[in-house]
Amino acid sequence: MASRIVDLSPLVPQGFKGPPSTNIGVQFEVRTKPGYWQSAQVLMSLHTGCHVESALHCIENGESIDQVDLERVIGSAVILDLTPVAERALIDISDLERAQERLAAQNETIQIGDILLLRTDWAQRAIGTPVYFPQSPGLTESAARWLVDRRPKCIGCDFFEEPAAREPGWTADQFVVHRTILSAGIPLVEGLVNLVELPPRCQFFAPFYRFAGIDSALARAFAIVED
Amino acid sequence: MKATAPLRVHWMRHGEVVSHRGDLPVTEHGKRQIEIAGQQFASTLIPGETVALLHAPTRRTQETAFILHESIAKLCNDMQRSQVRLLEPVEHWAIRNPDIYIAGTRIELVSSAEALAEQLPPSTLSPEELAQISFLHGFWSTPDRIGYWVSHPDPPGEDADTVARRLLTFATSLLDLPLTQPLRYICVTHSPPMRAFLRRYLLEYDPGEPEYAESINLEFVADGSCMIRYRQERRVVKG
Repeated sequence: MASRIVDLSPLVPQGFKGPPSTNIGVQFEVRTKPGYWQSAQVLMSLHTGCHVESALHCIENGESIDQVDLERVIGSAVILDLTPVAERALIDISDLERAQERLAAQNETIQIGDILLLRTDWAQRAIGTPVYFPQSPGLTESAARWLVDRRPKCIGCDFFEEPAAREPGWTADQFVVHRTILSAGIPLVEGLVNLVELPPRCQFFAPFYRFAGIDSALARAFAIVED
Repeated sequence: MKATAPLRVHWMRHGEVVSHRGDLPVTEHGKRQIEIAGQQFASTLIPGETVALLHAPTRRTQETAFILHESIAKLCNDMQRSQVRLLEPVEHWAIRNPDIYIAGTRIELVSSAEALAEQLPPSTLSPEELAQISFLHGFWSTPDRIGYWVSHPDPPGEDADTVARRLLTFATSLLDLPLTQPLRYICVTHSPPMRAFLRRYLLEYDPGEPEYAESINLEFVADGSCMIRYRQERRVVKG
């Protein structure tokens, strides 16, 4: 049986937009020397493009990203296909149950310890643009609880799951979806693309940069698919 | 008789208990785990399917089976899956814990000598005397007690391979039923039979404790072979 890699991370060019709260687009600074030599540095939010988040993102003294073992973001994943999803739609338990039924129709089920990948195709259309965060579909708090109750080891999304943070002036206590998931010790992988190319189950990998003592790290997520 | 309609069998561990010092009830958190497992089973039911719920002869598996029944029944009603025939839970001896014999009595393996002494007729052996029995001494001295039984070559009763074979034999015998409609057996049992089964028929090693309310899933196909699935592992056992 042949296998292939599906890249699940978006390309991040100069100016690629991160979250509005930081108001930073990716800014590369490329240093050069005569002859040929270059070395780039970058100014960006670590919540830009594909990245992994740990509890410290919204829980005081929570787990920092360097405390998340790689095995927690690598493993067998099932895809919860929520498509079609409208802009700014609120994804609730009934939507997740429908996705679970789709999975069952393909003779697949959620297993304890799986990685759950939530597919809306929103990032495919909008990530890196100014509308990605404010117009994204989101999860309800109940939906987040439903996901946690399935006892996954990791959750990945191709949309921005926190509806309260779409609007300016949000407060930390409104970060309920993140809080529900991250407080359960489940790392979040955000900014995924290309989930449309995955079968109902695949091997998922989200290796990430090993920054110390902070809440997030850039990732290059991919899947291995058996053909 | 060969299956003409799908037969599925699930070995499911009971919901969370506070400890294994005896046959304790399922915790509130455990009840929630079971409800969720029921929702997941309900999502996979096939129209026309008959669902039988079995439990081992213990309180925690019985409670689990009844909560599971309630959860599946509710979901079936909500989803108007009236075509599914859900049977009341019944006790079944085939999915019991290993038969272990101490001083002429079949006992359930428990986590303390005091709890084991309570299973014996009065004045048979004290906890101190039980702790001197070689198998029990090793069992209670090991952090992974069930792993000790699974790997033990000569326990005082059924060994792991015998229990694993008992489970598969039971499941395979269901093919003798007239399978004109899809049939599913959800069998609530304990971690020792599940670990024995996984080691013998799927993994070839002991994976350690399943999570509470976690399942091993078997699906039989027309030639009598069986697809076994647990977490991300799967294997076909020929009929």
